Amino acid sequence: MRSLQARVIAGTAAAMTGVLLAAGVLVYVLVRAGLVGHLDSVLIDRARLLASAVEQDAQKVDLEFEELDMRDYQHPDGPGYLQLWLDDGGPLYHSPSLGSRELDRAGPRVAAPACRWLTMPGGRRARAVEMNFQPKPEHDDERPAPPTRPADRTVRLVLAWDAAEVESAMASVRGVLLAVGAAALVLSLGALWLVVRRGLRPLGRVAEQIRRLGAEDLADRVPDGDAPAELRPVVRRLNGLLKRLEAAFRRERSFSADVAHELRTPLAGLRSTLDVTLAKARRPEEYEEAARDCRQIAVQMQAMIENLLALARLETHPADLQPEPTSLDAVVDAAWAPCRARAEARGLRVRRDGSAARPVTTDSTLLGLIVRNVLDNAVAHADEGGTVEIATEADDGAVRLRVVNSGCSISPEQAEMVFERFWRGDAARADTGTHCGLGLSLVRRAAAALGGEAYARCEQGGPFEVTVRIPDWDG
Amino acid sequence: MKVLLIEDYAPLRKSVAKGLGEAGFAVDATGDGDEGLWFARTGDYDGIVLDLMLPKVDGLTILRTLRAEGRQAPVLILTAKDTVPDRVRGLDLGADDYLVKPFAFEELLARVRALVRRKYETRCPVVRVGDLTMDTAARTVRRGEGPIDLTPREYALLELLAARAGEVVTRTEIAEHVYAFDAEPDSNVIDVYVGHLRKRLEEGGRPRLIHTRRGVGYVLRGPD
Repeated sequence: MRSLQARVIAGTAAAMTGVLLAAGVLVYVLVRAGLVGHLDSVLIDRARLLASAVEQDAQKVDLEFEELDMRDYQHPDGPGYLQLWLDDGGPLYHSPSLGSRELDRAGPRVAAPACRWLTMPGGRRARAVEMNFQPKPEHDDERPAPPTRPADRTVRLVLAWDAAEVESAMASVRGVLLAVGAAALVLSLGALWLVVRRGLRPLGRVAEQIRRLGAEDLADRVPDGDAPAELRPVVRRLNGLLKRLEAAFRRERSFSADVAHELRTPLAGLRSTLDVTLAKARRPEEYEEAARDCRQIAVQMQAMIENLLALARLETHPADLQPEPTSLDAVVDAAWAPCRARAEARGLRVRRDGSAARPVTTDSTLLGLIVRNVLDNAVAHADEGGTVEIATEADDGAVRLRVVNSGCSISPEQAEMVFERFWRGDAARADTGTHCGLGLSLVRRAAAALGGEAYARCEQGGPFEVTVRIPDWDG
Repeated sequence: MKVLLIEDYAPLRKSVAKGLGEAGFAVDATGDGDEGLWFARTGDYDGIVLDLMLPKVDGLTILRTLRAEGRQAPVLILTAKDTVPDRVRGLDLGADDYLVKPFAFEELLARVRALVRRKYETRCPVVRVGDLTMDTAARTVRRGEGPIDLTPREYALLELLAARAGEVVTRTEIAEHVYAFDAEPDSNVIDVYVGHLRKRLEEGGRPRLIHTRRGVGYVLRGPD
């Protein structure tokens, strides 16, 4: 059963039916026991009265029933049936209502009056009481009793009484109980249905609000103010999830927009160079120059796409690493070679300070990527004729690369933002196409993939410093 | 016609400047927003091709500043930003046109030509003065049925005079609109060029169209 409402109603209805049934049975049993008990006590009284009308003397047992009203024992339909026996089994009395029928006796002598059920001819149920008694000695008021041997005979008496009254009373009790129980059940099920429906209405409302959340717009939220207390944590979690999703989507969207933008500009350069060159016949030198320009653009685009791919790989398969002994100093030397020409062209003074020659175990490809991008960034952003300092050091279990360039153009508060994808110091930016703002974000991600970290510090107009710490894989 | 190109991506700046130059425009090009703003304020440009993301001062700020100062030079925004809000913002700030990178150079050229026509309030690319027909889209010049071959500079000079046909164009204006900032000549050179152009237009003894207003400049006018 999927519906919460149906489950609550069915469960409660089953429990309620059980309780009502049990209560009905209990009431029925108690009422019946009370009625039967009452009948029993009436029967016992009646039996005692009859017993008191039995007398004995030395010779015989006398029945003095003519003093009693014996009309109840005359008709075959009852209600009374009476039979008495002497203790030797000899019949003593057989009421006319019995006709030819004998009442059953219990086997052994019974001490106290005992009651039991009997089935009378025609299937009617009757309640019987059986008792043994010693008839009292017969005495005549006129003449005193002669001295006789003590009368010690006992008589067994079985008195049966038609139980139709009890049966019909019980039948009406049963009817009343069933009617009341059924009515109670129907009424309370109705009430239950109403209450459950009302009670679950907020659930339906929340479900409706969730259903109405736009598939396109992740900015929608489920209002948690009017949600029931039980659902509020769920709604809050859902809203939190939506918020994270929205942020992730926005990030992805802006990332792809940035990628598109960064690729469009060099592509425009490529296309425009080719369009202009092909617009008319030219001298061979002009074609050569155009080809060189296009090649330079292609190289820049390739570098950017490689950075993008590296970034994407780091985000999707961060653990695809091959640790091997690597000397940071050697990596820095290798990475510096392609930067040197640009540093010289920009008139930069470079100070190199290496003390991390001892190899550490790490992924040398990623370390190379990190170092290349940090050096690239410093050479690109140092002021014309400024300085670049490159320092490496090894301490216990980690190597550290610190690169400082002069001429920082951003404020200290912006230092952390250099690690964001496509962020550039100037909102109006520099170096479109050549430096697209991916390098340092790549550095931070790669450092994290190697278990290390990268951070930046700067003073506006002063030095800009990037520090990368990479732990020894085996350390 | 003189065009200012403000674009920070050097290979693009180089090729667009070259292409516009070959199409007969005098081009001032810079990759720096600050310098671009200075150029736009000091020169009387027939059109400005403006990138949005620029170092120092961004393109929208340049546009806003120029319009706030009442400068009317037509502006074409050339950018990689292609969303509708970006275009709307650029046009609302007073740009005349918007072209998204990458683009076909032919299209840029056509749009710049349209931009320049707009400045001279002519919608029609074909100008007629007397029996002279100048098609600025096809870049052809004819007198009667005979086509006339002009050098790019002669063409640029005639284009300026034709755009303001019937008005006197001063030597300074010619210098400003036909030559790039770093190549502005003195008035003698202009007189020499006007002489060349006249000669080409009057080949075969056709009547004079370019008249000298002594001490002021030149006017292109058909025979009355």
